Amino acid sequence: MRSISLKAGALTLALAAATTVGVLAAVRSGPAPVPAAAPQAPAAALQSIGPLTFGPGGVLFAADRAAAAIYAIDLGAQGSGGAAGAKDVAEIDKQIASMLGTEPSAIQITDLAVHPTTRNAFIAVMRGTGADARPALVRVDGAGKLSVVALDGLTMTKATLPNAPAAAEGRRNPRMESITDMAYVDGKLVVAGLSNEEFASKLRTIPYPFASVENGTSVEIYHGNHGQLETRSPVISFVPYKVNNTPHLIAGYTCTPLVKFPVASLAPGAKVLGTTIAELGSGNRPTDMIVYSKDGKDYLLIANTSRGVMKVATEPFANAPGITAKVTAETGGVGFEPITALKGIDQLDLLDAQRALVLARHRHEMALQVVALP
Amino acid sequence: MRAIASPAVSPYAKVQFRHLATLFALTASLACGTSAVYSIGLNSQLETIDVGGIPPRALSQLATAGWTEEQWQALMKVSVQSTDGAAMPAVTGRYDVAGAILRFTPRFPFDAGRPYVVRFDPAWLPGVQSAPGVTSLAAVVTLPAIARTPSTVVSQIYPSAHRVPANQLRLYLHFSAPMDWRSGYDYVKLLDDHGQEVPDTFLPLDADFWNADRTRYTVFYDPGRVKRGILPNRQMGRALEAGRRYTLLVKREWRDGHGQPLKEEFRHEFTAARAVERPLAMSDWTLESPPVGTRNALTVTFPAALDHGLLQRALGVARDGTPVDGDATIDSGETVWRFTPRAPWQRGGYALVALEFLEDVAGNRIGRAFEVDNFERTDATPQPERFTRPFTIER
Repeated sequence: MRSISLKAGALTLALAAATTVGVLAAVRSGPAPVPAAAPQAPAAALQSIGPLTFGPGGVLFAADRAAAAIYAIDLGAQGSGGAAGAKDVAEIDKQIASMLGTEPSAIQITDLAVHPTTRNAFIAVMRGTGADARPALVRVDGAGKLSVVALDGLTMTKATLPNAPAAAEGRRNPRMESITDMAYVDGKLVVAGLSNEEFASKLRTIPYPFASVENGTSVEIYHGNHGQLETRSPVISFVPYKVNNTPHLIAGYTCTPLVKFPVASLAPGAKVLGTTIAELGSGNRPTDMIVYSKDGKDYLLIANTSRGVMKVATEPFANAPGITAKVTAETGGVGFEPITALKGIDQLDLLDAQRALVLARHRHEMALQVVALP
Repeated sequence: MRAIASPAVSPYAKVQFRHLATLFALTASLACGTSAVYSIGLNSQLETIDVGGIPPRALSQLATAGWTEEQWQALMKVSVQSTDGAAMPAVTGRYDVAGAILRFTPRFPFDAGRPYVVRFDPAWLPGVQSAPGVTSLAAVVTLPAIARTPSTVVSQIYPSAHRVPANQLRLYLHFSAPMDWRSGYDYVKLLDDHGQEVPDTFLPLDADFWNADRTRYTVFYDPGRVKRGILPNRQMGRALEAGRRYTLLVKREWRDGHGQPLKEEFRHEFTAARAVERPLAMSDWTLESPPVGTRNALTVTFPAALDHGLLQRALGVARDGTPVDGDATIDSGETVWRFTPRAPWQRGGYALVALEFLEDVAGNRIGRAFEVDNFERTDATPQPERFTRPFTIER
């Protein structure tokens, strides 16, 4: 007999109480006091490190997927101190692995973010691949010098995502929620999550400074290629962008609609209808995207797994008709320009008005590269 | 102790160090004509590299030197041994004076079996008059490799049945021990009845589809191929065709948490049945109510398999709106759910409670088929909607 056993405890979540448990805590492993307003600090800091994004005052938001949590990290003196800016670094995976005492195959680079004032690169890395895997954060300064940020001793606050809803408590819940992307928009951190059971994306808005995690808002989009209303296509990457002076999220999904939503609509319990403005082709997923301006016009730059880098003019976003019918061609909606000069792009962030910083994979090695915005 | 090399002959004394807690000594002839004997080695816990033999006066100055990491690395640099002779960046860590030794503690523990080069240049010691580099000593230290043999296996697959609908949405692989935390996408293949791989079957996502201890991995079929009318579906059709036989192959190369491949590959043969494209209905379920006053199980039988993962947390029993404590089991190819209460059943009304995210293996929910999305139901409340089916204990 194939069976599992589970303890059915209180049906609390199903029957009455809210599923949302926002956790606010200050973490500091050094000697400085915990801020008075914060509840007791959790015993352990980051278990893993995934997507990164910077927020107000240079605070670094780092997702801890293993703990379904987001840390807001005050980098202190480690946020600056080196040469400002960014520089090409060849074989950066090899260099990082060496600094962490291991080899490139034993690390995984999970994200890249550019510091808003120093313009140094911050790279999230998992060191090790098994039970001993640990998170690391590496800074690369404008002289190409790498340093490993000492996370111990930094002041952090933490927001934990709500527990998975369950009809019964008890046995450890095998459901996990992965964090696929984050962005800071007008006082709130927007977090895209994806579960390992229900095949559905959740977008959550978390006010910063962290006080609580709001309920996720399920997002419904019309997937042009699908000819159906698609609720279950995971949000892989998104950027905040003002459309008609109203804050929006421009989100990329698997195989590969581009969708806009007004940020204001992401309220707990709200019914959100995104507008599919482009269909960028199937068999592909967007890994990262940035917005930039050039010659008075705004563009979206999208790195994809199998369709290279695309440049999308945002001007049509405001008035683009939503795709509400089947797209019979490979692509549809707002047009894009393939940027063939950029190859093997794993990660992407805006460096300054003229340049982007990318992590590019060439054969078996990875390079940090400063590239001109196309 | 294996060897002592004189830096007068070679400025880099290469010493292979494989035995633990044994320090070895290196003699440095300093430019001022004196000589000192330094020892370099792992400490007994294999966590730090210790340098002994530093003159006490230099040590006490080091203790209060307030050096930057670069200054410490000039004196003592630990790096991964390169395979091509290229200079490697220093391993990041902390330098302390601990009693009579200088101690390097790496930020992350040393890897077992990996050689690390330690270069110690006494010329940088405070108060030592010597040209930097001339007297530097080098040693290679290696933690013993841990001998392991592959032992982890795929212990279970869900759906466990050998007949699944052609629009199956996901499957779960259970492992006998924790796995490497990276994506398993490259190691799971669908083979047709000729043994040929069915391409583009699964969703190529890097997201973490592991449970917390990495013993269960979720594989999603590419929903673009599962769902009718979608471009990938129109171009390629569903990966599974009703009536054909398939083999789900898990390749042996998938690494476990100790970096070992699986003990053996895993194959699960099944036949694709007609797609199921209608919503679940609780009224289709059969309930066998137990006798009053007993702790016999309530047995709920479904007409087709439900999703094993969701079934573990989406079903419960309530009485007068209050949850009933108990234990549940899932069996018969995920078509039977049995609930055994902690306290005996009482005469009267109970309710079977299902949360809205309960699905069958094809992603169909109660009142909502995977094929038919409905705007009216989008996130109406922040809480999962509940469905109930009353039952009575009366015998």
